[in-house]
Amino acid sequence: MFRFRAWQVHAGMMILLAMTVVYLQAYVFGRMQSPWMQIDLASVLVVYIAVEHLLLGAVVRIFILAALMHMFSGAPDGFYLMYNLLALVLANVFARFFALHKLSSQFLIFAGVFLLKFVLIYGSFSKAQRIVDVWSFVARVSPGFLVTTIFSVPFFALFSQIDGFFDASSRRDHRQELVES
Amino acid sequence: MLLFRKYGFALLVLSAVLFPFAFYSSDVAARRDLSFVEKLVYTASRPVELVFNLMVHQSGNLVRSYVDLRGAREEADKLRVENAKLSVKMQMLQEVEKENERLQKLLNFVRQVNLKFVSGQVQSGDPSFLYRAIRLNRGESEGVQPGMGVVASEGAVGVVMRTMSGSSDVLLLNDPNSNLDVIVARNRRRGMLEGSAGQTMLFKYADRGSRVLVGDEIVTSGLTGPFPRGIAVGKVARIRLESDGVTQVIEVEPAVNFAEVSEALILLRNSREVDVIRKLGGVDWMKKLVESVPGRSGG
Repeated sequence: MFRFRAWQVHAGMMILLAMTVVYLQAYVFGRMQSPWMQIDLASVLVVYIAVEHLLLGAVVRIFILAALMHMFSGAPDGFYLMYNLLALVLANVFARFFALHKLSSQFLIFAGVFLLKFVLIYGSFSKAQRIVDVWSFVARVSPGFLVTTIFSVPFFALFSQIDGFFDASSRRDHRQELVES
Repeated sequence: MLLFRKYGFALLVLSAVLFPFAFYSSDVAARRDLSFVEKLVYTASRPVELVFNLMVHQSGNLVRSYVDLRGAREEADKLRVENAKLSVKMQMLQEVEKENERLQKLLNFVRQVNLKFVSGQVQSGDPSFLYRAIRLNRGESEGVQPGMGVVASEGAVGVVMRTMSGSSDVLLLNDPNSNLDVIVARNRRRGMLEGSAGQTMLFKYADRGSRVLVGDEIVTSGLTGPFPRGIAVGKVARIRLESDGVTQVIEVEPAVNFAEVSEALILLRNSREVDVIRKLGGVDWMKKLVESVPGRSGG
């Protein structure tokens, strides 16, 4: 009888986690009126995948995440692919220079990635709008930026717990296979 | 695999550096239908969507039933009074309509507005929080097509940008990449309404010599775009001069509170002309069309 291997379950669960995060963001946070509820969990997940997963797997996962985000968003084509790719590189570079277990380093990584997102979005507006709206744009994104940066560390820990659970069972399964063989 | 381990990161850095160049040098406002991969991912995520749909719908119903029960009696009384007022108003309007019909016949006008629509519920918002789009639970199976207009009771909401079998994504009018052909209701002066990065929308490319005042109502022109003439879009909230002392920035407060829209009507308006322009001109067709008309000025 066909049986899923633990690493397949692990990969599937990460994709399911990505789907849940994007749907939560679109269905719940995206419908909230308060700007203080604009928690960008998808960006936190991108950073988590970037620093905790192997590069090839991380690339595949952030591509899926980009496709999921694009499904809901009015963003121009390729925006999320570009953002996720840059966030992956930035988070990796940060992770090489700063100790990840430190709270301050984690805040720094997240703040850097979220700032990158706003700069990229701002750049995608037409030139006239950029001139007119710079301060209203800053006013609009500030609550979301603050609240996401504050919540990023606990959500990072939550993702780590979920991922760690399936990763551990994947490794246990692998060890058992080695023993059996 | 080994090669990727060795050079993977360098390759990724290179593509991350090059991608923005390609992205920003292309037409960044362009939107197309979902690609094959995106459709695949969407199909795979349908069960999750169903669960979220059910959860959000049920919890919304629960809250609504509670709120409804609390003020049911007061609301019923209020509605009874309102109903009486409306019946009187309706009788008066019937008279006006008859008169209008007579005048239209006299002038040999073709009755333009014969709208069919389908109502849909808002399922989700834009997860980026900065671009503005919503998803409605009506799609291709109900006859919805990209480019159709969406309205709420207060006025125009947006334009359908992509459709799926059971849902459609609507780009809201206040999205920075949205634009609509409009007129000032008071003097019928034409211009282009664009979304912005802030809370308001921007009235641009106004006819030369147009006098726009704070408080002026902006309505759809009906000349291009998916909306019939006269649907409320917003009111002029602020007019200020740019630092050059010439260019006017006209900010328009939307008629619809987009965050509160829970139900909307999709106008099933089959405009062949609009379809042809859209196919020929791409997604930016409306903007290109207005910009191609000579004698227009910015601001």
